[in-house]
Amino acid sequence: MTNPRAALAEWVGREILPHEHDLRTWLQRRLITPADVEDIVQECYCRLAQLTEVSHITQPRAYLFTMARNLVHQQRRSAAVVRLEAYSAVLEEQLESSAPGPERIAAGRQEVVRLQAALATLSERARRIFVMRKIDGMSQRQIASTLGVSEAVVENDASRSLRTVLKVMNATDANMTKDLSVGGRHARSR
Amino acid sequence: MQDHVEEEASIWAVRHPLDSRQEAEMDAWLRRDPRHAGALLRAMAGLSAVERALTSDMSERSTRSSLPARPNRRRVIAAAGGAIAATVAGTFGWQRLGGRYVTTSRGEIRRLPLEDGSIATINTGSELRISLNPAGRRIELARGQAWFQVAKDRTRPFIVDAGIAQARAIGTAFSVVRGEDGVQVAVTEGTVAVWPSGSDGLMAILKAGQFANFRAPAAAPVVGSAPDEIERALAWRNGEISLENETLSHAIEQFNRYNSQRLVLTDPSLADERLVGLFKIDKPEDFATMLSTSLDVEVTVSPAEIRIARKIDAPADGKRR
Repeated sequence: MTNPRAALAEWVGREILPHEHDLRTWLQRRLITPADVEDIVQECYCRLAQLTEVSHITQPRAYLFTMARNLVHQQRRSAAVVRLEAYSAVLEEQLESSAPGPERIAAGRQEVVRLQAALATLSERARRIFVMRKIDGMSQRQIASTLGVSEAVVENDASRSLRTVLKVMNATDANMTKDLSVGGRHARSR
Repeated sequence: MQDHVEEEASIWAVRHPLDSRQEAEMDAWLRRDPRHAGALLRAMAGLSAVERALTSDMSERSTRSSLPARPNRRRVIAAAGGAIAATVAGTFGWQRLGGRYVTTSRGEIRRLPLEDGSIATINTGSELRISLNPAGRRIELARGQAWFQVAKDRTRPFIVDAGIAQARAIGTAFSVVRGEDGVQVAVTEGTVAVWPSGSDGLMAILKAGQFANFRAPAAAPVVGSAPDEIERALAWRNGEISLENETLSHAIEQFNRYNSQRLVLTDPSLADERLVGLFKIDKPEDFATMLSTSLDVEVTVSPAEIRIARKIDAPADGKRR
C-alpha cells in the first residue's frame, strides 16, 4: 500500500476491471471495430495510470464509461487534440449506470461468474504462486525455491495465467459467456 | 503487437516487488511507449483482483454483511473467490512426517521453545505433533490448546492442523483450541490465514483481535472481532483464569480442566450466576472460598472434590428445580 502504483492498481482491480467486459460490449454495440475497441480500452487504462488521486471518483463504473464515450467522440471527430470532457454523472445509457438497480445486480452476478470462470482456468501451481505472493508476501525467487523450480518458470507461469484470466474475464464472445456459466461450479459458495 | 505489450506488462506485474535495478529497467520500458503505462496498470489491477479473490478477506466481508443487502460487488467477488481458494489451501498439506510428540497432563501449562525460534505455549490436557523441516513447519494439534508465537520465516510457512480446521502464518502470534465442539483460532498479533480442512470451504484472513470458530467439517467458520475477550481467554498463559461476566458453570468447567480436585456444583440453579474476577488456575479452593462470601453458598472440601451448594436453610434434598 505504500507504493502509489500498487495502491492505484488495487483500486483499478476492484472498481474498474470488473466493468471492462461491459465496456467492451457497449463499445461493440456502437459498431466500433475490434481494433478500435482495443485502442479505446487501452487508452482508458493509460489515462487511469496518470491519476494520482481516486478518492473523488465515487462512481467508478460511470467514470470509466464517460471516459470511453469521450474517446469515442474524439475519435469520430478525428480531431488531433480534444480536451477530455468534464466528468459528469449524467449518463445516457442504463448500461452505464452504477446505481444498484435490478439490472445492475444481475450484472454484478455476471462479474462474479466471469471472475470465477477465469480463476477456474488457473493451474494448481499458478494458484499456489498467487497465494504465496499475497499471503506470504514472497518474492519470485522465494516462491521458486519453495516450489523447487526456476524463477523463470514461476514468472512464466504467473504472467501467462494472469493474461489468461484477463482474457477470460473480458471475453465478449457469446459462446464464451455460455461456457463460463456452466463452468461456475463454485457458484454455490455462501 | 498489442499482445506483445500485454505480455511484457504481465511479466512486469508479476515481478513486483521490484528491486532498484528492476525498477530502473521497468521505467525505461514505460518510457518507450505511452501505451505501456496503461497496459501495466491493467495487468497489475488484474493481479490484484486475482490475489484478492484467491485469498478473500473474510473479516472485511463479515463487517460489511451487517450493512443493508446492497449488492456490494467487492464483497460478492471476494466470496466467489473463496470457494476456489480452499482448493488451493488443500494443496499446502504436507506428507505426514515423523516430528516430535508433545503432551501436557491435567494442570500442566508448558512453554516450549522450538528449533526455529518459535514458541509454543501449551495449555492443559493437550496433544501435539511438531514437525519442523526445511520444507515447512507443521503442527498437528490432536486435542487441547496452544498459543504460538511464530518466528518469521517466509520460506517456511507455519501451519497448524487442528482436524477440521487449518491455520497458516509466517511470523505472528495466535492460539488454536481443539475441543469436542469444534476449533477456534484467535489471533493476538499479525495475520493468520485459516480454512476448513477439505476442499469446499473458504479461506479467511484473520488479523490481530479476530477469531474464527469452526464447528463442522468442511464448513466456513464464523469470524468475529473480540480483542479483549481473546486476551482474557489467554490468561491461562500466566496460570490464571479471567472471568468477566462468565457463568459459574463455565468457570467450573475451566478450573476442572486444570485440577484433579474437582469443583462440583450440587445445585443447578447456581449454574447461571455471573462472575467477575481473576483467579489462580491451580487454586480452585480459593475460588470456592470467594464464592462462599459473595454468592451465599456453602463449600465442602475433600481431597477429591470441592462441593458447592446453596446455604442450607431451605430443604436440602439437592433436587430443587
